[in-house]
Amino acid sequence: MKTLTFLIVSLVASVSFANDADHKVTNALQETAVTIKAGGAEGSGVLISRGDRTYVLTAGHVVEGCRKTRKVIKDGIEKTLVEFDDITVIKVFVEDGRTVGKQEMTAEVIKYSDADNGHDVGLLMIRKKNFSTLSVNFCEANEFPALGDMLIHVGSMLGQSGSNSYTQGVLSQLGRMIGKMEYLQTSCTAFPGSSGCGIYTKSGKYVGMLVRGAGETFNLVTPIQRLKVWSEKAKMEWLFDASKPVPSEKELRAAPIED
Amino acid sequence: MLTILALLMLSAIPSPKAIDCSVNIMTPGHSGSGVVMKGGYVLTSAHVVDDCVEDKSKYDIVVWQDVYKKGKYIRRNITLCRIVQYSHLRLYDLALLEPLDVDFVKSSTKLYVGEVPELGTDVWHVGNYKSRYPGSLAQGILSQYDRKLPDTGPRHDQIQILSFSGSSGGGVFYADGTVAGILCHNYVPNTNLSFMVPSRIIIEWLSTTKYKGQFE
Repeated sequence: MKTLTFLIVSLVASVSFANDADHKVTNALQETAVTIKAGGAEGSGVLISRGDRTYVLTAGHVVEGCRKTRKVIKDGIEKTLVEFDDITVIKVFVEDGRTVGKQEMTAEVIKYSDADNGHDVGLLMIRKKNFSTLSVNFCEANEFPALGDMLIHVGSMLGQSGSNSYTQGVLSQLGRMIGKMEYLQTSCTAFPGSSGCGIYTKSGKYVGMLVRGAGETFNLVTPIQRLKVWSEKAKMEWLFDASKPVPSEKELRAAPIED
Repeated sequence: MLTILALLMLSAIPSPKAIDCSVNIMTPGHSGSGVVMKGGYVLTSAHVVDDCVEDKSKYDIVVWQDVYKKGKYIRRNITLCRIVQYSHLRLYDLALLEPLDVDFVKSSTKLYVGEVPELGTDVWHVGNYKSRYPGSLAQGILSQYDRKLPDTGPRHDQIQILSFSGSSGGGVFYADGTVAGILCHNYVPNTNLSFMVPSRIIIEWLSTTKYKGQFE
């Protein structure tokens, strides 16, 4: 009898603890998810705060409509400059089942990798300093989900009107190849506008960025491992490793914007 | 104690009420779904019955439920209903029907009245998929709160659950069988992107009627 009572108390306690943990994960994912408006396109992104700056990681194709080129002659040599129009980043606040407000911020594109030949990544820097202190938690190799594990999507399905949509699915497959690029496949429900959003483990660790879909529950995700490879090549390890020093804004802007 | 243990372990399974109190609706022009509340009243979406709203005295809405036992169809419970409360699509998009035979379905349920549940909370929907597959059960989660959809009045909660035409008016339930909301909009048809009028908004609507507090 004592054993049974102990079992029941343990089970109730573990259910209660799990609910509390789920609540914290849900809140954290909501607080680090944003909608991106880039020209006529809308997508999703996640916040990464380093120092007094807040960065937004998104998909390259979300911001590509704002890309412009300009021919200049420097030292007698013609060069092509790549520039981007400013991007709008929107953070929505919801309390007790009610939307209570939103913040709209202007951001500049500081790094871009195109969807066709690159890694389909865009990194934005919010122009306002100290916009947020929040960052997504990146998944480490030993925490990486296995096939069939539950995954969470938090993205702006169909754009701003569907901001911070929380959906679930599973890790459907690893190692999907398109050209030379490797993707994860997930059954998390997603729609246009979800591009650039984070895909997370049940404990809220960022597994990768949703970039492609072939149906609402057939979606492809750039895995965090590949994003790290990209960041290393771009000398931006600080993005996924908070212990690495962040270059000055002058250094960031001096670096080439494209791969 | 064993019962408590079993209930805890089975908390991710919907109460049988979700099935037992779900019904299908047919009007001269539309078909949809509904939920049987206390007293046999049927809660549904206004747009499911809007072709019957002009003469509310007429019992011209057919409401039925197919009953299965051990996986086999055994009978159809059926009654006629009339509209007793109606709020247009651009207001609350809700309707309350009174059945001619209040005992046509033995089971009934209540509206959820607790705190706003967490995103990710499990929900179930029972609806008449494509108006051809009555009593279809689907599982999903609460996806986001307070969505404003074009050309509609109420604020909706978004749910990740499969719905089709014919799902409209059907109940969305929490695991304990209480009504989380009334499924009302399949914004992108035949997908998992669905919307419901949540119970807190249904309670707000009913509070303006003589049915205030009756279904809580």
